[in-house]
Amino acid sequence: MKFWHIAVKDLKVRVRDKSAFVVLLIIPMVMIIVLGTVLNWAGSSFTANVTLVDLDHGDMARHLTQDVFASPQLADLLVVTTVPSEAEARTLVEQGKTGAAVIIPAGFSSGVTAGTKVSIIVLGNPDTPTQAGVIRNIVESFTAEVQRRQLAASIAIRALQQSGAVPPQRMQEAVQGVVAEVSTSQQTGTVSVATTTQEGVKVPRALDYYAVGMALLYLIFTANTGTEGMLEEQRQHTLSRVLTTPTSRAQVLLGKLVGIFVIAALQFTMIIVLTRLLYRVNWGASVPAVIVMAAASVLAGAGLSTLVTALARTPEQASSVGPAVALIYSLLGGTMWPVYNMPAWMNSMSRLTFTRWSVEGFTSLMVNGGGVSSILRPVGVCLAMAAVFLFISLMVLNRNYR
Amino acid sequence: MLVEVKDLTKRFGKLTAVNDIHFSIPAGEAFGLLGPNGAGKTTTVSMMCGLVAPSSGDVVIDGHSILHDPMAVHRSIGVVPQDIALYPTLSARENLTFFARMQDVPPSMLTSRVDAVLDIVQLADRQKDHIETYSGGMKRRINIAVGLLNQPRLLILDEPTVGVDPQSRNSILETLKELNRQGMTLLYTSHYMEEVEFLCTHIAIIDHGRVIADGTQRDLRLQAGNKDIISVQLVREADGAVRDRLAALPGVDTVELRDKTIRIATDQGRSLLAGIISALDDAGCPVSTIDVKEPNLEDLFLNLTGTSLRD
Ligand SMILES: Nc1ncnc2c1ncn2[C@@H]1O[C@H](COP(=O)(O)OP(=O)(O)O)[C@@H](O)[C@H]1O
Ligand SMILES: [Mg+2]
Repeated sequence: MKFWHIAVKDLKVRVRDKSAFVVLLIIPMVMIIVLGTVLNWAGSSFTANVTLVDLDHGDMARHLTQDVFASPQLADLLVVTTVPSEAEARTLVEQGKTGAAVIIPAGFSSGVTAGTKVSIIVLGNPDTPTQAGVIRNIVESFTAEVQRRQLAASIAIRALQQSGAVPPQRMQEAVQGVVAEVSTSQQTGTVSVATTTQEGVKVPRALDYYAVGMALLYLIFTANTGTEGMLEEQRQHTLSRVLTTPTSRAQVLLGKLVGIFVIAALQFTMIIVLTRLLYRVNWGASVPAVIVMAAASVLAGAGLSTLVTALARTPEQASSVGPAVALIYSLLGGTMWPVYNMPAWMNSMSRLTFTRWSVEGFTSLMVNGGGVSSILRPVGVCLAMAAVFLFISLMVLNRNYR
Repeated sequence: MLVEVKDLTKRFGKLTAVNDIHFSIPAGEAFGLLGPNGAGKTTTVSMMCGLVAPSSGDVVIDGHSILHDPMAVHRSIGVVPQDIALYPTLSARENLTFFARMQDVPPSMLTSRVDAVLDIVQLADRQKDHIETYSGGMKRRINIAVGLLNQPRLLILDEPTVGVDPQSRNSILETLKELNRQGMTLLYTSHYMEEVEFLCTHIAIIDHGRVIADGTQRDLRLQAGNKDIISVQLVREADGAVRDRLAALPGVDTVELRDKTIRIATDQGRSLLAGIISALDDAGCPVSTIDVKEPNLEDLFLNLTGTSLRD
């Protein structure tokens, strides 16, 4: 129970420190309102820029450019531009001005009709893999559909030939009829497109994502103030004094952890409630799941701050290492920019940060609306990381007694 | 013995801050650890309360080894660190209550213990004020009060009067003397000779990490061979007969005569003054001035190390 008294004392000290109070609770609130207004959160969402090059000018190309890319279902998702030449499209991709270019080569339509092998080129911008992924998906669904119909047509034609129902001199006519039928049936719009990334994970609205990122960014920041609090205790010599009483280092560590946890949890709750009320951020359908995910994240953040404190040999070290760790976590952990827009290497690296897992947990709740059981993996990873942080901290603290 | 410090050594890299120190303190004693800045007092005390791990050696307090059962040691001791170790934005009462909880004071006794120590340091009327509003002397008194909360068998004080005005210092020393009289064992470190002389029955003098002298105040003076020196200035020069007459007085060890000055070494100090003056009168040698210098620990330190205790 001593850890609880340590936590309560820490909270008392924290609450009396008016500037800390402002930093921890008021600033995030103001930031949400300011950022929300600036980014016009209430309206914006994920869009992909696509550049089309139609070198074919045939029926099939028109299906793709008009019935698919210009379809009303995709109007919210896509910003479509058309350029006349492949070279121009390549330049746009290279300059990063478009998410992907779709090039329909000359002879595409006739190739499809003749049943020969044809292909559409998708040039993805590596800096925006998600946009490229979405566009590639659309084109792939289209070509898969075309292939299916090509197959259906050739089977039908072979059947016609074998049955002898059509005399050879009328065969040409019959084949054209089948192909025309298959082509028109495409206009019924059975080409379905899902908003998916290459990995097949659904993407949340930008607004929702940034709310998660913001909450986690502040969590890291708050955890870092926990480190500062521990250093303050060292400067005030109160930490040593506590250690001359029958109080173990583990209890002190736990007390500090609980203190940070309470503050971070308060802040997290405030951000969730505020973004929900002001910007209708969709935190998912399950309140318990959001609470569990938030608690696991906060615990990992508090654990991280304890670790930084324990590892630093001097207060000076800790006060420079703390912000550095916070920065790495913010950059890598998907709080500053979305994990689904990261280059592949960064995406893999980010798995080492608890924030990345936390982002995954929250966005999965947002997109899939699942319950606690749907986020067991990210919660488990966050808790495991918290446990590792605390274990190492305790080892280091005990080793420091030399 | 309540405290046994056994061959305690602490090295920080190449520096040996504490070098094979050993001493013991019987229950009820006021033990002084006297030494200049950097002598190793704080390092010794830190090892005794488990904040610094010894390079070698051990400390046994109330039958418990600090190496093997630090929690048991922590229950027997109260610690007053050299630096003020209090939460500035909490009130005195909040600080005391928090530390009392850390010291395992039973919840039912929290209030009474906090009240009691506030009375001892005479700050009950300021208990609700935040520590940051206190004067240096008041902070020192609360710093001491924290060490008293668990009614420790041994109270360890590391230079508890540093930076305190003379009046507060006297009040602190009187308080400690009273606590000792009531039976609390004290370990008191200081570089102020007067404080240790006033408070402590037993003293260890420490320099460069070593105990260079150890004993009761009387022992230490004898150990250095120091005598009280009575210097007499005469109105005119005296002769050998006067010197012999003085040397014959009971209690006088040696007499030196040079021109108009006589230096008498003795163990009995002031009690001899009357006898000396009347003897000189009888010899027809009127006294101009007379001065007694009692040897102190400062002299002993000077004798042993060739340097002064103060820096
Ligand atoms: N943590 C430490 N690291 C290195 N040297 C230290 C450390 N603590 C104390 N010392 C050195 O040990 C010596 C004794 O210091 P200390 O015990 O504080 O002396 P005192 O309390 O008698 O003034 C000093 O030379 C001091 O610089
Ligand atoms: Mg010291």
